[in-house]
Amino acid sequence: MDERVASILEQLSKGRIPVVPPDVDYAVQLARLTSYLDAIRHFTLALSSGDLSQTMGQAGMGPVVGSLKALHSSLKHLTWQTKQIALGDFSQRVEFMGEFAEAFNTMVVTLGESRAELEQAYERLNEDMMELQLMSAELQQSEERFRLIAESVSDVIWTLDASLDSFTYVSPSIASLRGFTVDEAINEKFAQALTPKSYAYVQDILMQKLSFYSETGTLDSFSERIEIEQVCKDGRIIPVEVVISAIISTDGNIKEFVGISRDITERKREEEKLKYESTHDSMTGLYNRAYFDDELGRIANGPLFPVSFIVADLDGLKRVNDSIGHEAGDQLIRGASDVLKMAFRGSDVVARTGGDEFLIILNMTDEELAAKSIGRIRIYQEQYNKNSGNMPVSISLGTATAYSAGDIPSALKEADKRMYDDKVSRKQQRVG
Amino acid sequence: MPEGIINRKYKFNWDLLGDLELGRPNLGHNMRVEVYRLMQYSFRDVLEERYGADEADRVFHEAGFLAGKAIYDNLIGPQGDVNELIKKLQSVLKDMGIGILRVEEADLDNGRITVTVAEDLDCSGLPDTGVELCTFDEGFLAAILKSFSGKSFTVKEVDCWCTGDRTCRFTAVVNED
Ligand SMILES: [Zn+2]
Repeated sequence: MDERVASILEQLSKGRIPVVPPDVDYAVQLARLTSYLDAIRHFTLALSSGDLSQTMGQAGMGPVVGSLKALHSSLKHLTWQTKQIALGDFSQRVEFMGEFAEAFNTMVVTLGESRAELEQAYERLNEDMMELQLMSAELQQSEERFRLIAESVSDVIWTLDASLDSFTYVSPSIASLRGFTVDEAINEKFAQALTPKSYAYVQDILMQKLSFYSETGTLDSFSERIEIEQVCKDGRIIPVEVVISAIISTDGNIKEFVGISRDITERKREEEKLKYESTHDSMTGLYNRAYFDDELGRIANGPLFPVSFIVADLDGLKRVNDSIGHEAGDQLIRGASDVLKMAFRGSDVVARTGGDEFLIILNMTDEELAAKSIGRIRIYQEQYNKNSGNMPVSISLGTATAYSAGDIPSALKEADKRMYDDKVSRKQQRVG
Repeated sequence: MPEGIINRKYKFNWDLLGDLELGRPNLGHNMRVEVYRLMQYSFRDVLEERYGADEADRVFHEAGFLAGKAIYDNLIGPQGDVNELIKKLQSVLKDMGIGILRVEEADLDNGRITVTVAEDLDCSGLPDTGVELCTFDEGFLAAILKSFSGKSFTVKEVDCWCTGDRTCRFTAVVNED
C-alpha cells in the first residue's frame, strides 16, 4: 500500500485534516473524507460561535453530523423560545435538556413572577393615583365650596398660622368689618389687628386652649366665643365677637387657627341700652329703685364709709296731679330731678325711688359735708324756681350718716324721719 | 357511482378509534411502539410491492393529513395565534408519545415554519437508509397548519433519523395560490 495513505490515516486518527495528494491510492475517497471532516469542522465552529444560520447542506448526512444537527436544532429552538419569553410568554419551558433545562425553567418562572409582581405593583400604583386624583378633585371641590361660603357670609373668616403671627386667609367681608381690603388685612400682623389689651387676652386664651389640647387631645374647648376689640382702618375701635378653632395636621400638631369674627357694635349698644333702662328711671334719667338697692349692697361691702344718705321728697305732687293734671305733675317731678342733678357730681348716686321720693347716696361723706349738700340743693332749688313760672319746686330734705354697714338701715330711717320733720316745719312756715 | 365508494367499509372518523375504557379495561391505552411500527412497515411493504415506493409515500402522506385533521378537530381546536397552536401541539404530541416538537422558526406572516420532532414515533432509531421516511408526518403537519390557518402548506421533511440525523426536521411553506 502507498505509504502516504498510512501517513494520511495516521494524521486523521490524531484529529488532523491532511492534504490528500491527487495521485495517492484511494485519493478520491480520502479527499471526500477530509472534505466531510472539514465541513463538520466549519459547522462545529459556527455552532460554537453561536452562528445558527450555517447548515451542513447536502454533505450533512450520517449519525455524526446528525448529532451535531440535533444540537443545532436544540439551539435554534432555544433561541425561538427565548424570543417568545422576551415577548412576554412566560409559559415556555425547556424540556429534556437536563440541568440546563432546570436552570433555564427556574429563570423563566422567576422572570414571570417578577413580571407579575411588577404588573401588580403598577396596577396598585395606578389605583392609588386614581384615588389621589379623585381625592384631589374632591378636595378642590370642597375648597371651592368653603371659599364660596367664606366669601358670601357677612362674618369675616380667617386663618392664622400656628405661631399666631400672620394671617393666611382673610375673607372679603373684612372690608365691611374694619374697612381694610383683603390684601391689607393679610399683610397685617395678628398683633396689629387687635387692640393691645385684646391681643394679650387672645394670646392668653389660646395658650390655655393649646395646653388643654396637649393634655387631653381634644379640641372641644376651642369653640367658645370670646369678645375682643379691634381697630378699624379709620381708627375706630369696635367690639368683635370671635370663635377660634384649630386645624390639626396628621402628625397631631396645630397646623393653623381658623377664626370667625363678627361685628357686635349693634348688639353691644342694645345691651347698653337694656342695662341703662333696667337701672334708670325713664322719666328723669336718674337711677331707679333697683339700682339704688344694688348700690346699697355694694357700699355695705365697700371701703367708702362714712356714707351719708339724703332723703328728698317733692312737696305737693298729689295736689298738682289732682288739680292741674298729670302732665303738670310730671313737669314738677322733672324739675325736682333737675335741681338734684345740678346739686351733685356724677359719681354720687341720685335715684328716684318712688313717685315723689328721691334718695341720694354720698360716699365718703360725713354729717358736715352732707349738710353742705343740703345747702347746695336749696340754692339750686331757688335758682330753678326763679325761672319756673307758676310751677315752683319745693323739696323736703333729711340726711343721716352711716359709719359702717350695720348703720345703714338706721341711717336711712333717720334721714327719712328728718325729711318728714323738714316737710312739717316748712308747711308750718308757709301757713304761718 | 365510482367503484371506490361502493367498496368502502371503514370511512375514517374519530369514532373508529373505539371506546378504549370499555374495550381495554385491563390493558388500557398503551401498547409497545414496536407494534405501531410493525403495522406501519408491514403496510408499507405491501403498498410498495403493489404500487411502488412513490405511491406508497403518497398514501402515507394522505393518511397523515387525515389523521392531522382529526387530531386538530378532536384534541387541539381553534387557537388564538401560532404560538398558542405550537404550545398546544407540543403538549398533544408529548402526551400521546408521538414525539418532542421543537420550533426553529414560526413566521406565519411570511408563511414559513420550521420545526423538529425528536424521538419520533415513526422513525427514531430506525436504520440509516439514506432516505427521508416520514411522509405520514408531513401530511399530518400540513393538515394541522391548514386547519389552523385555512391555508394549504407544503411540508417537507429535510432531515430524518433515516438519513442519519437524530431529529426529524420539517419545513412548511405556504402555497401561493
Ligand atoms: Zn423522520
